[in-house]
Amino acid sequence: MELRGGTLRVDLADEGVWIEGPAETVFSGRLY
Amino acid sequence: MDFVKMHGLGNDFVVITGPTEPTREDIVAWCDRRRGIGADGVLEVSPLDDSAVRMRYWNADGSLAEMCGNGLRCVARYAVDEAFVESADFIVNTAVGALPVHVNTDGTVRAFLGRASLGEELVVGDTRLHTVDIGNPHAVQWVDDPDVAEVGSVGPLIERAEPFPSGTNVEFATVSAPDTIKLRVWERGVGETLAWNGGCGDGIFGSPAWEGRARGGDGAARWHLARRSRR
Repeated sequence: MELRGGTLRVDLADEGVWIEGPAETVFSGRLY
Repeated sequence: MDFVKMHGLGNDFVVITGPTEPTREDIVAWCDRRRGIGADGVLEVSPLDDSAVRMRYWNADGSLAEMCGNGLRCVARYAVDEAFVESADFIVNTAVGALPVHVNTDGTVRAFLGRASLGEELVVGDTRLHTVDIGNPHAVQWVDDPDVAEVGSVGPLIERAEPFPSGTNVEFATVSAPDTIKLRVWERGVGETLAWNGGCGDGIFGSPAWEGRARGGDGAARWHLARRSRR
């Protein structure tokens, strides 16, 4: 699946739908 | 409170460890792209045991959402990075149920969304829509070219249209190749995002419209895609 942010893989399994794609950390910090 | 900024395909989140009780004002302030961290929403990840965490998700407008596929993957990655779970295979408890996930060694995530529930076909104004629910609502419009779709003007009208009393996510999609769908997303409570909000792709692939269109070009397209991506 092509999206503006990149490509996502979709798997139509018998039990339902799986997706596979990135999950990325950008930065960390502290909320005040 | 510590946070991590994450994204999945450009759908970005402020991720915090729970349990917490953020107010609507907190969520809006954190997601503000000029005065806050900036994000499409906030994810809360609460450790449950060695093999499960709980996920909650708020849209940028402060509304609590049922589910988010990009968020689910970020939750899984966060849980592993923070050592909340012992294995790369574990369960994320969400508002729509317990969903298995697997964090690959390269940091990408494979996640289960469940089954799509296909709703009725609707016409809102001049727009024909296919409705799908996979824990959260979606309305799909098939277009010739998502790049020129009027996402910014049509999206908000459909999001708040009468058939969707709780609002809906809106997708503008086309079959761009026998095994590929191209789409743009108007996310409920957020606006246009760079990626989907969990489940819309499932709805597209599971919809009669998709099957009909795909089979118009390649009768095996739907199953070809499933077979190629299965592990």
